[in-house]
Amino acid sequence: MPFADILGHERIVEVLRRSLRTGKTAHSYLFEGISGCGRKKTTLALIQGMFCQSADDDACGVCPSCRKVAGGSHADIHIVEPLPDKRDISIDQLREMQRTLSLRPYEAPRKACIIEPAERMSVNAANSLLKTLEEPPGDALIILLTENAGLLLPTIRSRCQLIRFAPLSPEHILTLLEQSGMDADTASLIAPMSGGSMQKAIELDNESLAARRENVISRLSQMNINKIASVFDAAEALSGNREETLELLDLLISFYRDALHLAAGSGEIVNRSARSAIETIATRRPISRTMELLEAICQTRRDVQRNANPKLALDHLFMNIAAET
Amino acid sequence: MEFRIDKEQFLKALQKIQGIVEKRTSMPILSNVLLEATETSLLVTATDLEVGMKSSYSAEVVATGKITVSAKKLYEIVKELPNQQIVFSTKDNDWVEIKCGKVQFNIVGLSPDEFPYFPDVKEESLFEIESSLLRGMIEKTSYAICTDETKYNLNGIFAKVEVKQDGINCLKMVSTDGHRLSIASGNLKGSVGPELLKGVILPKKGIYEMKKITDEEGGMLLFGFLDNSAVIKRGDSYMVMRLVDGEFPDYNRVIPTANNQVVTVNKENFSHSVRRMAILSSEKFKGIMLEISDNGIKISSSNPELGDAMEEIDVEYHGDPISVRFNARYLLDVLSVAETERVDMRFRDELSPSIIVPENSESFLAVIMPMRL
Repeated sequence: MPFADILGHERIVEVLRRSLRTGKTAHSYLFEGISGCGRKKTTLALIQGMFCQSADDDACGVCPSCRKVAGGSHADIHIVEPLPDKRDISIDQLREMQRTLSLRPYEAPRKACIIEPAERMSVNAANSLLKTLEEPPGDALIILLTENAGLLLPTIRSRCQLIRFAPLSPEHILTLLEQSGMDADTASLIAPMSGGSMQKAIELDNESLAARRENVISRLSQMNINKIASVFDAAEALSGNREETLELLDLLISFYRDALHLAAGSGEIVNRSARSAIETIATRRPISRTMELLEAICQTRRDVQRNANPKLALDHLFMNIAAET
Repeated sequence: MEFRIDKEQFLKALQKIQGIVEKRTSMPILSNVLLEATETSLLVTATDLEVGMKSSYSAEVVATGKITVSAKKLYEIVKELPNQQIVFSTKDNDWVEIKCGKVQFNIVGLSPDEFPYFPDVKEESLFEIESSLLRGMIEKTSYAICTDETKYNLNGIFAKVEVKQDGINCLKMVSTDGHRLSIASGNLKGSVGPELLKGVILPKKGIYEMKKITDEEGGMLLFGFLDNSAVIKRGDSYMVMRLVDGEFPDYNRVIPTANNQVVTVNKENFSHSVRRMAILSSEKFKGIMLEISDNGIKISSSNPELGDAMEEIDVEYHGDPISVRFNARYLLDVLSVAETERVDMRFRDELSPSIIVPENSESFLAVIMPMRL
């Protein structure tokens, strides 16, 4: 039962199942949520449910139709995504899609189309879609996936039923990681770092994560405010582009969160293998000071997200961290 | 599976489906051809999900089974093989071995399970239609098919059967692009299914493939519908095309009924004159003017950048004088498919749609919107 496999979006699944039961599915949906939170999975489950004859509001998951949908080879599903060497979805791709939608379904009762990521449609392409979106030819279902519905044209947004997907909770990620065969220790380390995205959780390769953590800890312990060069060297070495810096800051946040837990006498820490280093952080200064630093790291993270220079932001943060040692 | 087949025959089978296999790579399996060895014959299937073809050929089948391989590569291989019997067999993991004399090829295939479902044709649901009739009707209507892809319901030919008072089934094919409309009709023998009585829209690509089949030779074809597809059968080959999902506009409402100014012209002479006059019309709109009076038709065109031209042809006409402007290309398209020597042009006034029909024939009717110049 494909809908049963979707974790953490019970309310959305219920809404979609009810619409399948009553035969009142919208003709176009806009699924908004970070990538890896289950939008695509829900989309496929919805389409399977619509195509499969076995139940009113769900699919069997084993009939040829369900298997083809899951395997991405169903003739009545059209997936529109940017071509391999292109950034945007072009108007030609959408015209092609509209042409195929104009034919009757191949074997399923209806046709379906997935556009991902919808915000990558160029303005012209998006405009060419308006009419189809409003009145899809012959019962077609169009699903747009996006990370940020605000990036789409208002004319597109208003023609779709918007469904917002929340990021997955760390507990759900943990369950999913363990289901996929990861051992509990690693999974519990990665789950909180994933930011609610299963995709990111899978990408966070454990070995390189451990190596990176070692590197960060050794750099942090070498920093000395009296040798200001060591602070700037650390910032230089650890900062990278925006994405990498954000990842580093996430790592720092998890250290200081663990340090707080240890200082408060709780053993529930994420970075178990780095326990001794974190104990040093925890015992070096009072809890109030650790909390201030945690706040400072969070502030830096926000700054970097808002286009602050990663290197300068880290310089500033590291001076702050090194000041007390 | 394993089968032995004559090179020439295999090559012909593969050649036939080259035009259909998918060139784009949205679904890799579509660039493959499905080969099925049954007890008695070899079935060759290809589809791009819009148009599909399945043909059966005689082959010496050693072991039954099926496999898909790249249609293009297989064709290239078979084309270059020596002129001997080919032994085609499958091995583990969808590998294929082709042997011919001392030549041996091993190529990778794809699992036949992934190949899209092909409608199972039941012969009893088909009816007979004369190849030449179908070909003529396609010819008379295909020129007016809309090329604007956004008007998807006009991107094809509408086919419908109307039962006449004397019980004869009359097949009508209609196409329009909003500026002109073309209707061809022909009588069918035997009964037809419910789909045609309701009306279906055949897609442009399918129409062109269908025309290729009717071009080959005369005789009878089998025609019918299955699920959401139209089917054509000739001999041992089937062609299926997916129908357009949409409603065709009510074309009867655009056929004017009060066009009582009739002028009959000789098709050959008239189209030569129109062609001559079109030389000086504007590139984009091709506008020419017809002034019809008791003395004949005065055809003229003018272009501020080039100059003007005028020609008179004699016709029998006793109605009120009338002048009307047309896109020359629209006139020529109609004239080139009308099969009689003379055609009737029926007008009402300067800005109403005009009708062109072959003289004394009900097989064809064209409506053209005039232009304002």
